[in-house]
Amino acid sequence: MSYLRISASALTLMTSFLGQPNSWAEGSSESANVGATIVSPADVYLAVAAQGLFTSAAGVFSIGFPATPASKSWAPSGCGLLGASANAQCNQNDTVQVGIDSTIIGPQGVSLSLFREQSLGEGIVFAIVAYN
Amino acid sequence: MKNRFCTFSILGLMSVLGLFSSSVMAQSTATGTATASATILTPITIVKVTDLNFGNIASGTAGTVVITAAGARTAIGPVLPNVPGTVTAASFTISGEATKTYTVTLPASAITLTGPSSATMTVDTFTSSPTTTAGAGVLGETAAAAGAIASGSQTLTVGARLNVGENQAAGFYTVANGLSVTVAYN
Repeated sequence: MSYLRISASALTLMTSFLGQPNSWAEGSSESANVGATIVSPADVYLAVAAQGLFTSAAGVFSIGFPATPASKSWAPSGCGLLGASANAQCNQNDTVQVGIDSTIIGPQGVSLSLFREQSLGEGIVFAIVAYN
Repeated sequence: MKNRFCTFSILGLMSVLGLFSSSVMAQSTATGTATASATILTPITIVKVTDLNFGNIASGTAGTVVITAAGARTAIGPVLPNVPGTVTAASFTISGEATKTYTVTLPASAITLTGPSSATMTVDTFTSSPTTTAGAGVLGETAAAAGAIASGSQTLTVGARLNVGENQAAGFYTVANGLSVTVAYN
């Protein structure tokens, strides 16, 4: 009888313990927000022989050059007109920052010329231009 | 003679009873001691310090943008503007029992960011420092061990990969409390 009483007490204690949340195993959790901003592409069209028409609002932009063809360098022209260094050298996959002088951008936009340094007139030159 | 026998018998019986009685007395009074002890451990807690921010990404080429647990950003495909915006790995402060180790659990599946006009991007391939290796770190005094809580607290950072679609719609994409991190003692 004594043994039974002890067992019952132990069982009661065990049941009480197991009834508690197992915080040791569950640990602690926390959450963070996740965000990203997709910036608008500027309105730029670049065609054969790299004549581009820039019609976006004034601002500072990044220009990303295409990965192909390989082993080519890209040199934006007319950068002086746009307030940046003329013929700034750009390597493949580089980005180049072009300053836009708001005074030269009218309602009809401004002409932005780009050409591929060693192969003028070959193919279509394109770039990704986006607001910073 | 008979009396002497009886006397001896009685004495003998008394002796036997005495021994028995002595034996019983010794068992009933034997004592032993043991030290009872318990250690109450400080509960492990995690508190967010910084959100996970991928910063500015130019719309256009599809690809991925990765933020490492150290906060470095790289892209395969999308152009990253020279003005990066806010670029941060998520960070948390882990607090608990000094020198105890813990295990980090990151989201097992991709989470979805929602942007303008219900456009979406997914985030996956989560990484952390300390890593998520089960039982990372060693119970002991090595504060530098991965997952060991030195001086009762440690900073946990989390990076991930953002999947950007072609001509992804411009705007801010987010998911509130989407990155859930769990820590537990080993």
